[in-house]
Amino acid sequence: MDIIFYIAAVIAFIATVGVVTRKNAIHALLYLVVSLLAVSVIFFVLGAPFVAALEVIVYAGAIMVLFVFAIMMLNLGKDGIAKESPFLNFGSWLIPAILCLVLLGELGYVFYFHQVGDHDLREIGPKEVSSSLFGGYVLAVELAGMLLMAGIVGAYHVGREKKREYHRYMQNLETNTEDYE
Amino acid sequence: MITLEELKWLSPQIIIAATAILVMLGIAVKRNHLFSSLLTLAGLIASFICLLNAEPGQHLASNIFIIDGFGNYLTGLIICASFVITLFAYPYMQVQKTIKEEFYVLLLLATLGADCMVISNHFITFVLSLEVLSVSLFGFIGYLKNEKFSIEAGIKYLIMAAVGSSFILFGFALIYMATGAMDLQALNKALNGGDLSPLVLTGLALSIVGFGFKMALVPFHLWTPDIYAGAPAPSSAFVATVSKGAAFAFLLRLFYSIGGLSHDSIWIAFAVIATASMFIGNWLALQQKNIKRMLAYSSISHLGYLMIGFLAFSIPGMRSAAFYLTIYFVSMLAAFGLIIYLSGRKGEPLMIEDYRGLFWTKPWLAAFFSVTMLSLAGVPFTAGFMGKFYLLASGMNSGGIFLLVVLVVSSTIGLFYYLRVVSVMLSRNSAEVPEHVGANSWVLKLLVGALFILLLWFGMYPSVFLQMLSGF
Repeated sequence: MDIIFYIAAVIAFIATVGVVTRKNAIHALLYLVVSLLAVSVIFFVLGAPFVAALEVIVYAGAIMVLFVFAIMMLNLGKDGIAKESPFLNFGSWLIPAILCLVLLGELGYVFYFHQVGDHDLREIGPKEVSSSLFGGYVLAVELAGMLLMAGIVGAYHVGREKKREYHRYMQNLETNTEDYE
Repeated sequence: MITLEELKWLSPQIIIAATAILVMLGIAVKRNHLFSSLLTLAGLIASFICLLNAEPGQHLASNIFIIDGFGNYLTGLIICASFVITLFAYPYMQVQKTIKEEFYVLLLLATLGADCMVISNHFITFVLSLEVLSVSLFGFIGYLKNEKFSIEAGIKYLIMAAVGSSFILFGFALIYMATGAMDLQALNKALNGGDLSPLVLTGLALSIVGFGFKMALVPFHLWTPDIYAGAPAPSSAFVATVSKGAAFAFLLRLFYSIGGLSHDSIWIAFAVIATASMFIGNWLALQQKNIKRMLAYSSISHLGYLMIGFLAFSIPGMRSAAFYLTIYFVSMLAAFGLIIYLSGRKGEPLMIEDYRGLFWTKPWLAAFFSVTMLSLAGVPFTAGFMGKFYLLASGMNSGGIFLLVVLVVSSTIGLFYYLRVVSVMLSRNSAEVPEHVGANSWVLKLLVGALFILLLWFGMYPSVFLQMLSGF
């Protein structure tokens, strides 16, 4: 089991680096899908099959497909690559990367000294997940609902376009419902 | 399972959530600015009344929320601040060329996030409420989407909030890995009061980075001025007060309950952050010509002062921090209130120069503004002085003399830029004040007057408010 975990972790790491360094948005997204799939394998190995399935269905499936469609519709293509290129020149990422490596080294040091006990992995199925979601954590689930509402209202407001221009005759019929904009 | 009693304890939060949904449904039926605004006010009042009837003592709701004196006090403070901002927002939004009603939905949701954050007892509720707050703030800051700066500020905040949250999440994950606990009581038990392992220390350090982002303490403060200057003034007021206050409340709860401050390295880290915030905030504020940017840097230094109460690591320290937070809320709301008062169809008076000669054209308003500035500076007989006095007293008891010296020195630096605003208002200039929303809004006039009285009341007779704090 351990070897699967490490393989998946390395794949997730490489794929995530790919997401950051790719200049073409679609390529970056495909790397992100790979990264999410690798993470779901990690969840599976750690004894959380339900979360693993959700990760595949929700993230790698639904959200990423939406992303890919949105990016394709924006049709960024070569302009996007040309715009991205200057962000990734050697000089601009070298120093932050070195600083991050120092931090990573510190983190590795901490993990090295932290004694991890024997794994006593226990599989947690959908039943247990749902009983805790609708038991002790029901208030947190409600709060997550409010979070979605905040996201939707905010995105709706910012993404809202001008109403369509009607013919003058039609405008007169719709006087009261028209907004400023 | 959740019981009816627990729902009763959480009724202030539930009412705010319900009001947000009602306002949203109201918009779906018919758009009406006044109706949305009044409904928001009614919800906030109802929530506040529920809070006043709260049973005293400490309760745990499903182990993920804790209802106690400290939480109730801050919940009340946040509701009051949202109430004031709603009243400010009505005349301000009335002259904007955009749809207005969603503003109140976002305001209520952000208030809900802040209210849940101050009573969080569990990492999950904290992170969720933090996200509710940040996600609604992103729409809230970029609300005037026809204005380039507003939308730019919104996107900046979105990215910064995401970075901050990811630091907090990673930190919490490490703490969970080391202890296997996510609620504060279990965490306290697992850590056994002190002796933190390197993993827990790393986790706490990462979460300090996240908290620093949220509260705009100095190495993590770079986003603040752009967002204050770009956002519509009511949103800036909200970010300056409610958002920072709520993050501070959970920071205090977390570090007090696990006893983290008795650990030297954590104490020193916070002391360095506090010192840097006080000095750099005040020093950068000196160089600003834009009043909203100046207030942004001033708020950075104020959060630095607030950390002194936090670092005292005692009940008096907690009380003085809560008292200072109240005063900071009132002063900041008054300052942004006056910017809103003078803003009009053509935008807000952003530059300090725009206030030239205000004493000769609008003497009362200029007097209020001067008192607000003096209170932010901490001059005697205003609220700010009393707040700093109690911070100094609590800091003195716990022996952090160095920090107290920093507070006094940096306040003296701060005095200069606050007084510069006053002197600009005093200089002669015959130009008339352009058309502004405050001129024909009695609500704004009353509100500015009320905040003015509150500032003086805090400064001269604070015992009424201090009594409210004795409950925790």
